[in-house]
Amino acid sequence: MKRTVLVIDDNRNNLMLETDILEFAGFTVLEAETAATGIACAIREKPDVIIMDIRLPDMRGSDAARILRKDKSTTGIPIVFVTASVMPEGRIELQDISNSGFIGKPINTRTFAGEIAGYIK
Amino acid sequence: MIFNGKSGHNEKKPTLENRDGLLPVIAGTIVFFLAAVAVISLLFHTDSRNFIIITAFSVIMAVFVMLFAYFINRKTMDRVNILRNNETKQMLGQQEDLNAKLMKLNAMLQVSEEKFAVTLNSIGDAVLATDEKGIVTLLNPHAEKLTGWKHQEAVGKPVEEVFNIINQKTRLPSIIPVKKTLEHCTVQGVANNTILISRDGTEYVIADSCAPIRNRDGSVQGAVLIFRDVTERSEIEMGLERARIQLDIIKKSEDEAREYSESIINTIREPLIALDQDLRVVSVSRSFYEVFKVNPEETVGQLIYDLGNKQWNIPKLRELLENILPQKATFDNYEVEHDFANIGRHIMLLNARQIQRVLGKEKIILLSIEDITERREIENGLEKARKELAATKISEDAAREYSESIINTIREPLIALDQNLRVVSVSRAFYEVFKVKPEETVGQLIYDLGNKQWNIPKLRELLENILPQKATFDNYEVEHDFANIGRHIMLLNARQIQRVLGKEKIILLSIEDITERREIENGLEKARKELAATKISEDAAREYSESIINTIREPLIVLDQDLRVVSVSRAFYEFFKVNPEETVGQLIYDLGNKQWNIPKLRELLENILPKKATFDNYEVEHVFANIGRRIMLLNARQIQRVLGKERIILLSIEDITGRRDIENGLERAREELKALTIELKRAATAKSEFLANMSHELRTPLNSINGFSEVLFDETFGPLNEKQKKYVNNVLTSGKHLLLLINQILDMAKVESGKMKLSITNLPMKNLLTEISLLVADMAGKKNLQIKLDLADDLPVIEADELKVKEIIYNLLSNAVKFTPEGGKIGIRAKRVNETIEVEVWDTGAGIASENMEKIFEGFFRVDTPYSRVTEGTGLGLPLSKKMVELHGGKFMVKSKGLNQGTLVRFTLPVKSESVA
Repeated sequence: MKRTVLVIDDNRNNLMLETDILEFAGFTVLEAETAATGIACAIREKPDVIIMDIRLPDMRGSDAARILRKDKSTTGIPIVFVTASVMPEGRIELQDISNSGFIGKPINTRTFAGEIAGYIK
Repeated sequence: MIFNGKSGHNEKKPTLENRDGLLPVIAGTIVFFLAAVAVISLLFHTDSRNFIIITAFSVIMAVFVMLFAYFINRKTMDRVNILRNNETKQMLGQQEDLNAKLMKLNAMLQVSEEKFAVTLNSIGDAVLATDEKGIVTLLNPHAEKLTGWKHQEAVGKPVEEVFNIINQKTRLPSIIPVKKTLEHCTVQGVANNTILISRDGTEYVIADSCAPIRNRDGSVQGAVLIFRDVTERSEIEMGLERARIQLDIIKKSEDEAREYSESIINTIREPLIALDQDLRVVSVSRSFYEVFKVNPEETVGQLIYDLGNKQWNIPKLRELLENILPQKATFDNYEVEHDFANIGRHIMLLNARQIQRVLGKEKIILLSIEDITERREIENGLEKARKELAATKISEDAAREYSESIINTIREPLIALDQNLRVVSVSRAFYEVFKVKPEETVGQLIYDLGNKQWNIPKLRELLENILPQKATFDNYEVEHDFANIGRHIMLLNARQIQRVLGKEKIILLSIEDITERREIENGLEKARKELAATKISEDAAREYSESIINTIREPLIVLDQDLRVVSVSRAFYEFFKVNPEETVGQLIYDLGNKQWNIPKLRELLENILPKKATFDNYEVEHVFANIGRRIMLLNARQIQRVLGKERIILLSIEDITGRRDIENGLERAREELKALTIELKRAATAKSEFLANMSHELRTPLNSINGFSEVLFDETFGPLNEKQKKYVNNVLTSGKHLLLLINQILDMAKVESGKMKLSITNLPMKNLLTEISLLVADMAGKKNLQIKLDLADDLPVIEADELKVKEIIYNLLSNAVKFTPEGGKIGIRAKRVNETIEVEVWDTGAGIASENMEKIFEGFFRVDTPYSRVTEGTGLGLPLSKKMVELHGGKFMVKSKGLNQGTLVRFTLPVKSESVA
């Protein structure tokens, strides 16, 4: 059974890079460019892990994550935040979201897939 | 003394020896018998058969005899033994008896010794015993007390050491009676006037007597000295002696006085009559009889008027005796002219005195009569005689009258009692003070006076115990609650004296009521103490306040209630630049040329203070002529002048002009500071946001650049040719460089805004340094550089941020590699120094010119050297390393001797992190 990843990022280049790497690693990748689309997709498809960009056009990644946590069907899905933020403030807003982690931008292409796989139980 | 039975036994021979003696006898007997038989048989030529029979018979006989002897012997020996045993038992018994008797005797002896000791101890007197040589053998407790020696200490000492006596009067050492007794073997009677000096110097007046101790045969074995402390008795005796002597003297003088007066009476040529208070003749001088030709029998006892056949029934005399004298106790030169039956007409001058018979109840009227009819003839003599009489009479009576008048003049009550303590006479004052009537007093027992008011135990004590012993007692204090007059404290002076011309004793009691006086004294004492205390505290307070006034730096004015200056502290003169002359006495408003005429001041002094005696921190602002504009705080107090009626106003002035300015300035500065702080905060926030935004914006495209380049380079989606690969690699390299730069810039920004947080872990330094140097080894190898590692063995594990430390080391090492030419040397040294580790990264490369030492920390600083072209650094490595070291709490320094002379970078890191993550 192939593992499914949902990538939510408004940057096309990022999307393409991450999707290609993950597909190359054997994941089924779903894409979304907005939080709303992403949430809907998550509820519908119930992926094994969600990769969320912090800065999304319609809301912050952390808020979208909270919504996903509230929804019963998506509450247990691990969420990995991809963030360019190096400031401590950036990290703080992610702390209260359970079953989550973060990866810094720019990503290490060679380890990315492995890291994502690590979040799937 | 115990009888040893065994020894007696040994003196007697034992039975064994007797038995030894027995054997020869038996043997002898047998031999004898056999011999006898042999002889007989031989003699009588008996044949062998008879010989044998005889022999046998003899043998048997011999045996019988032997047995008999043996048994006899046994019995005898037994009897002897029994006898011996009995004897021994008897003797033992006797010995036991003796022992018992002895023990009894010992016990008895002990008992009597104890009795003796107890007796000695209970004797009220002190006992000291010596042997025949005068060495002390015994001291009983009393003796111990008086001599100051303990029995054990004294035994064995010569008696004179223990018993140290001196004569009371001469204070010379006395001969100890013991010596005399031992010498003469006689009893030495009680010695008086001896003082015993105790070991500690106390003196006791003692009476002592000494007796020899004789043994059975009459020889003196020692002496026993008995003595007692008679100090008190001696004192009392001495007092008595003194009193007796005094009394004798008084008696003597009284007797003398009496004799004297009597001899006068009988010497003077004038007739003299003494009348009792009933005007009956008591006694009459000889001359009276002669002059008036009357007989003694006719006169004594007679009423004066009846004298000489009523010759003396003279109106003028009556007048004198019954009217004048009672009023005026003395009347001289009372002229009476009368025609006497016996002697005719005579003019007589009478001197009359009404006196108390000394200490008696009766009054006596002394009448001296001078016939001046024959005056002319013996005028001079008479004159002289009369004068003498008067003089002697006066001197004689002076004392008596003096005491009389004292008695009735003194304000103190006085009682005279006879020896039965009945009132003989009482002074007027007594009646008045104790509110009793004369009739109620005279003749009464003193205790019955005034309805038993005087039945006071203390008085009894005085009259019945003290006075009999001590004829005079003064200042005897008696406190008593009298029925009539309440509680009174009285001082009594009591005197017991011989009644003049009588044998009876009289007690004079003078009573001084000191009740009031006592109260006053007590009150006075209290008042005096209070006064003293208040005076002291007043003086102290005054001194204190004056020293305060002149010590405090503030100007101080004291004003009276008219607002005139009373006094001014020194500070005032100095501060307000005024003269003392100009200030004291001036109205405050006039001070310093009306400088003080300030409305606000008026307000304070005239309106506020009268209502509220204290007012502090009253602010006055005024432009003074002398000193310019001043703001002053006044403390004003209106107080009562100590011990005076006037009020005083104390004004203390504090010039707060300067302080005000400062305060205002401070206020402004504070406002500015507030504004600045707000501004700063805003700026900081803005900066943070900017950085965050910037970070994101820069990283996002880098994600694409690096990411895609990497994937391409890894040939994930297909192979590349060499050129392609090279190009892609170049893109990746640049991208990575850009990323590094961005990170470093952000780090710098974080550190500078204080937002850099270290994640502290335990770092094994030795391993870390070795690891990084391996990383650099490649780079160094390409340039043929030697890397020297000099790491101390005891390099500890430190608490630090791993990533940052690694960055620092890597940065410094790569710098060293970069700036050292081919074939050069670089190295790391690391050691522990107390609580830090010290790491040095050195190289033999390009070095740093001294003028550039500051600039290398500015960032992006490049010197144009042959090495700059091939270097890859961002230009931020060194400054960032320094900041990182300092963030850990370490020190960072760079040393270089100059261009091309190598570089040394030394930094320290604390072993224990100060900022615990």
